[in-house]
Amino acid sequence: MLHRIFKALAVVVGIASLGPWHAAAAGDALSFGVLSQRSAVLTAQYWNPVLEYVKAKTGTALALKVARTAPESNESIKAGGYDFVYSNTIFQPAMADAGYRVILRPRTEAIASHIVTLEDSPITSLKDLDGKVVGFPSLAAFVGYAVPMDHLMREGISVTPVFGGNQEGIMGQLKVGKVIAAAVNSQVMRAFAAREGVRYRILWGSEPFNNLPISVHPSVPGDVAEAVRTAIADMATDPEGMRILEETGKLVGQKPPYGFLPSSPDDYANYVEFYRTTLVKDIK
Amino acid sequence: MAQFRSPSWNRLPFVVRLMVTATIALLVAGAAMLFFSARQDAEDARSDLAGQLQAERETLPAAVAEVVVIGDFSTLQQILDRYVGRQSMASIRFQDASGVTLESVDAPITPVAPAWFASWMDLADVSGTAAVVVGGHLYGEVALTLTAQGAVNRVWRRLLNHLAILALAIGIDFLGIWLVLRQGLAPLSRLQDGARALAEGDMAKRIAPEGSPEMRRLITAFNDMAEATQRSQDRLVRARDDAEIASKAKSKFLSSMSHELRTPLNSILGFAQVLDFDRRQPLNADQKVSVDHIMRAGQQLLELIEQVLDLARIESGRMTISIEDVVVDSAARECIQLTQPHADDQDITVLNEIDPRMAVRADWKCLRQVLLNLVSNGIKYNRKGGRLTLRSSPSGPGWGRISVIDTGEGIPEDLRDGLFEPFNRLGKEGSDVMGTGIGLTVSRELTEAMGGRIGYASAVGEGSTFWIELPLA
Repeated sequence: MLHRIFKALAVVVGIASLGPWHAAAAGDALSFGVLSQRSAVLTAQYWNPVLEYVKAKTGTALALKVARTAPESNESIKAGGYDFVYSNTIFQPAMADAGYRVILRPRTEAIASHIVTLEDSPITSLKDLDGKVVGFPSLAAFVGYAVPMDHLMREGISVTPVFGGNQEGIMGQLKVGKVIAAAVNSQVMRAFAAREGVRYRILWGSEPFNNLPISVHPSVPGDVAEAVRTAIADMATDPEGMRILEETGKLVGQKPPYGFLPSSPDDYANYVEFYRTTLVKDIK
Repeated sequence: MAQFRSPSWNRLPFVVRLMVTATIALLVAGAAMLFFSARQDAEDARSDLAGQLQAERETLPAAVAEVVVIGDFSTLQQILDRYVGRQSMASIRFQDASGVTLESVDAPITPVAPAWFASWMDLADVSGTAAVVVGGHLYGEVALTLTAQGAVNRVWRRLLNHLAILALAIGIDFLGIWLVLRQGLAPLSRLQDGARALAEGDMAKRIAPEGSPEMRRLITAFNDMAEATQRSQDRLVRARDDAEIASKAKSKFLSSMSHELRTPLNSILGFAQVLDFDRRQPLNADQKVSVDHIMRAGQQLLELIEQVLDLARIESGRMTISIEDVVVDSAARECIQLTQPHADDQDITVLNEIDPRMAVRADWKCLRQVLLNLVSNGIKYNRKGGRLTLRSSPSGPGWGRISVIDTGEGIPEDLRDGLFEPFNRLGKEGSDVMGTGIGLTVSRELTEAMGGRIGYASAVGEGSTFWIELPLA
């Protein structure tokens, strides 16, 4: 039907400088980047109420910024494009120059990498995957790609990776049988299985890693960063904050405890250690 | 319904009237169907547009939410471009809170329906907006416009299709009626031929029943009628033949009897005259009276016999008519001369107003006989001292009238029906006026034998006028 299109106008105000688009859209708002793990809509449905809450509590406007894919998120993180960021890729050596500093971590238990298959799959052990096609969320997924691939390489199991774009994507492919096994975030997979009614088998699990932290860019004033950290950390103890956390948590299939705790880079030292020793060289 | 009673409508052939009626019925029904169908289509289109607008407002935010959240304007533009490719979507525009605006406009749909039709449908473009809100955050607003032109075009095309179907139905209706009637009414022409044959005297003509049950019943009824007519005519022919035989026998009898009577009657009259004029032995007064009675009665009887013989000749067809140019005045003068003594006896003035130049096509003897009868009657039934006038006048193109006008007492209304009946003297049988009662009968027969007409007019107390009309020479 494109031939019928008479005119397609793109009146773009500031479209050439899409980097600060969120800021332009929200005036003086600080950007809040989220690693692309779920669909942008689901991500927005989860984070926008939280950011509105923060604004109400602190007066600091935070504009959600979601990239199309995790690598695009990482590119922005690497360039220091976000004022705040919800991601665990900041620990990659290549991101170190951006200088993001951890200020909050999830109250939930630490995540782990799981290599899973459907419960009725003929695959029963990791060795059965040798020479097989295995699904991963993306090259940027820490527990979804870097950790499990590092383990497979150390075990000498050669697999052909295919990528689903994000966690939801590869889990969807596993569900419909497009991949025989997938490497996933243990918590995300659990929520997906509960929501979609998928029964699966865990072939391997990694050591726990604290889930994605919220970090702040050095350019953000300290008082602002502290105010944001306090507001988010106190949500779990504030009835209104807890209501938001519960409602948004249900959207993505989270289990309690909801919310975040104040944190520091020490809580994520194993990330740094992993990146230092990993055999996987194509982590994004 | 006035046209169905008008003469011009009724003069149209049955097939034409049927076709016109069927066509009008189809046109009226078709027009009503088209009107209501188009109106319903317009209502449906209006409802569809509103429904589509509502559906787009409900689904569009979700469709663009992903790219709006990401801020992927190029993909958003592609989505908007795809949306304007949808049916009825004229334009779509997205504007975020900061004023960034993306818009896609479809090429205008070319109108195919005439302006009056679009105006009659009263379909307008519809517009609406929908907010793109995700997680309680307003990302922007989508404004969309649906054009009604496509719906107008569709309804117009459907109307044209319906018109084509209606035209096809009328065509099939025409063809069907024509074929059915041509085959169904074919027996009518044979029926017409049969009726014409009957009219021309072919009483044995019958039509083989064929066609529809109604036509078969009609043909059977025609045959029954022909059968009855034939039987009736056979009876009439037999009756006529019997009557002619009887008439001829009567005429023959009368002729014979008249001849047989005339011979002795002439002897009686002859000897009576001898007695009356015998100078050697003159009659005394009583004898004179008796002989006068014998002579008067004999003359009356002789006149009667002559008239009867004339009538018998006419009825038997033995009367020879020779049509020629006859000067009426000469015939009239001769009649006046013959009857003048009787007129003088009654002191009646006879006036001849016949145009001396007037000539008619007639048999001279017959014309003289007719005029003689009329003049004789005019004198006999006139009043003493009265007047009798013979007058000529034109009577229509090519015809002339000869009138005999008396000043008698006229003919009473109740007696006029028997005026031309033989031997009917209209109550004068017992009077002292002598007559046979068949003069007018003979006059009528003779006049009609010459191709003319006879008639009269009478006023009681004033007199009567008898006339004949004959073709002018």
